[in-house]
Amino acid sequence: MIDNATIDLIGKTVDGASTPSEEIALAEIVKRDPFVAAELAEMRQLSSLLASVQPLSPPARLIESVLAMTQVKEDAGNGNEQRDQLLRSSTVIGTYDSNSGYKERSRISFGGLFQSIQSFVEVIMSKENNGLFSGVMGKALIGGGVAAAALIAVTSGIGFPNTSADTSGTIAPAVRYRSTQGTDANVQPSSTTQSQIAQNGADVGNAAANSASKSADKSADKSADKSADKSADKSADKSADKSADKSADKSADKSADKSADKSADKSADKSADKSADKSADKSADKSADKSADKSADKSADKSADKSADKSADKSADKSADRAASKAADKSADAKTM
Amino acid sequence: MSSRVIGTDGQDQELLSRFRSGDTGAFSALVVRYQKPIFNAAYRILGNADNACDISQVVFLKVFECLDDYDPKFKFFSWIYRIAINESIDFLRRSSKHDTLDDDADFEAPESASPEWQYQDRQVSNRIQQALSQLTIDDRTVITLRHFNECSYQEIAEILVLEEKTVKSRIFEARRRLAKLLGDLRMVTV
Repeated sequence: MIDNATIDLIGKTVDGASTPSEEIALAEIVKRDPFVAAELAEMRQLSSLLASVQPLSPPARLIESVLAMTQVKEDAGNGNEQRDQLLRSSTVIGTYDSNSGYKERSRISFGGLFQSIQSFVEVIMSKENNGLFSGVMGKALIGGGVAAAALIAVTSGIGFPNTSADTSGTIAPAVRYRSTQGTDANVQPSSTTQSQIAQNGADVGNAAANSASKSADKSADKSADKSADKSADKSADKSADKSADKSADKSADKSADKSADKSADKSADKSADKSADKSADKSADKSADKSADKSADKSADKSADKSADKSADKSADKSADRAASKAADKSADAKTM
Repeated sequence: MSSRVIGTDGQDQELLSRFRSGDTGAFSALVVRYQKPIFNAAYRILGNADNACDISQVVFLKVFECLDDYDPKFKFFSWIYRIAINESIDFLRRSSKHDTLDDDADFEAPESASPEWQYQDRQVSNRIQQALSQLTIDDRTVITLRHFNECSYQEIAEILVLEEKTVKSRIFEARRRLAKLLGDLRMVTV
């Protein structure tokens, strides 16, 4: 366990912020404690390793997009001011009441309303181009904004068309805001400086617009590339999956077929073997029986024949003997007589 | 080239003063001045260049919109770093899962560097980033501020609104854990 004072010394030494006296103090501790020495060596190695890593360069689009977005915010601020002016000027339209005088109506003109919606949409669209409202959230905001503008238009439109009585006093205040028309002499440029200023302003505006459009193009290109890559990846994945599935199915089918064939063959072989065995056994039995019967018959016949022959022989012999003895007896008798 | 902001707080205050008085060019100068350190801090905490770019944009927009909230008694860089750290941490918590490492991040290599050197440096940087992503957010933050943005202990304490001794012990422990994770790399490269 290293105490806090030593941790502090190690930290300072590794960061190169230690004083000579602190270095000496740490060297003393390192001599005494090998654990602290190992810790210090490890920290030094890590520190030099981290220091060797080069910093990243931020993408060029970072500064462009930040400046474009802040420009848009400024424009949006100006747009609000413009919208306020439009709303204020619309209140010029009112009705004239003979009793109470001129009455303002809290209603905006359609021309001014259209301009304010257009200005709002332009601001939103320019934000969208700069990638601020490119997501679902942004689309929802745009949709909500347009819906709100439409709601204002509908509510402000209630009560129209005005009757002739309503509009009878509207000319007077309008005339009040009129001034004499300018002549050709009024619109001549007073000096070349003004035109130069205007030109410079236009150049600055063009440069800003160019940088904004460039950043928008870049971000659009990037998003297009990304989506193309994604879709390519997806299709590649899909085709890979399909082919993998197909090959898997095929191999599965093949193996299933093979195993089915094998099992079928085996069972067929078995049954065939069995039936063959049975039939063989039967036929063998039969033939054996037959042959046995035959041989038995034959032997029986033979023995019967033999015995018959023997008995016949014997009886023949006997009868012959008897006949011979009888004939001998008879001849002896005849002799004796 | 270091990713630390080069210059003094006096220069920042001058730019801010000009911006407050309507000079939008002063804000552009601030963006140019801080884009690299802010982007690098976000990258080391998030580990993804695209997300770091998005967070950097948010940081500069917040500076643009909330400049009235800035208290001039603190250094401007502490304020903008705090916004960057907080936005990065919020992003990590919102996204719940950390994004994958970005292998194609654009490293700034010396012009004389050979392709092999650049490749090796990129490998080392990615390996370090892998190790950083395994640390806690607190550890990653102090390592990033100390080693990649070269902030002092006092500056880190000001950015993170911590006591300096807390910063010291936190950096020491974070270094220990990182050293263990990078043990093999230190043996090879150092």
